[in-house]
Amino acid sequence: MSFPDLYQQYRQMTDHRILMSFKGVFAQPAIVEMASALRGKVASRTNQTMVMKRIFAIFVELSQNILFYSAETEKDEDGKDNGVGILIVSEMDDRYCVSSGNLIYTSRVEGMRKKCDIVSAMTKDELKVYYNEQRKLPRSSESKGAGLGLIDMARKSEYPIEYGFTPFNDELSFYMLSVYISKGQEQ
Amino acid sequence: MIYNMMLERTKTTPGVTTHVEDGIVEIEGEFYPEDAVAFFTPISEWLSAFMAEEKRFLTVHIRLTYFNTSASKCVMDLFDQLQSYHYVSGGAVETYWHYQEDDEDILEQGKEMIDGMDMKIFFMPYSV
Repeated sequence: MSFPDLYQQYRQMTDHRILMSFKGVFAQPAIVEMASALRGKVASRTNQTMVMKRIFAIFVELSQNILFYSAETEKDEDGKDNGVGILIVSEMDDRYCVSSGNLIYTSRVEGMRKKCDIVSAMTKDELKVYYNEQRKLPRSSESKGAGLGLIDMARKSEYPIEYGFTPFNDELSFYMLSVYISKGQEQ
Repeated sequence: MIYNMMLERTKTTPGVTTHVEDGIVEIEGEFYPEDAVAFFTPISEWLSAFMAEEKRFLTVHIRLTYFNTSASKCVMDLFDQLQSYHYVSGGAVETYWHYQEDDEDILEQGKEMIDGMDMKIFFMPYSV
């Protein structure tokens, strides 16, 4: 068959109100173009500055997470490694959802889960304190933003972050993270 | 006198302009490059040179409409650098943090960054 599941996928994505979806290499130029296109799409749906800005910010943060930290990478023309993953932005009745997925080494799952557990259990005030503490820490080779991304996204969202891990093969697991942005009151 | 610096704004890096004779630095745009530290290093080096050689009053205008978490650490480092100049030379820095009037996140970020510092900062809303 020359069109494997193509219509079915299209139908499904339409039904799920997918604004944007991408699976592949998250190189910086591609992220910039997608983020810009997303900004336009959201702007046509809302007049609220903060809704637009926060979706944009979360999209960039999740995309760059894939770029830097996915265990699955591809080399570009310059020989630089770029992460591979999947990112989906969808619309619901009362909110937008930005979800990302990528492979990580299974040995990192427990550490990541703990980080997510801590952040998702915090109140807004606790997140603020934690964020500003973490921002003072020096950068490490493992994290360009000293692990600030997750905390920042949780602060921008009115809902708890959702996350999960599922085994992929002997050494890799699939890491999923969803962040929601409320549509709020249209003006 | 040290040279002026002029960086064109790109989609992911802010434009940077300096006026040595008036002691003014302007940073304006979006800030989420792949490597925020590499972008920001020449700026902090320019500031170090100004502070060491010019030793004059410095006015910094920051008008960032978006920065990612990695870039936010660079902005924090910038504040640390300004604070220490202010401290060492006694009140020689004024910072203007410009934000879109309904952008509560950018305003909040600026406030949190200067929390605990005693240099002069002015929050300047603008409308689009």
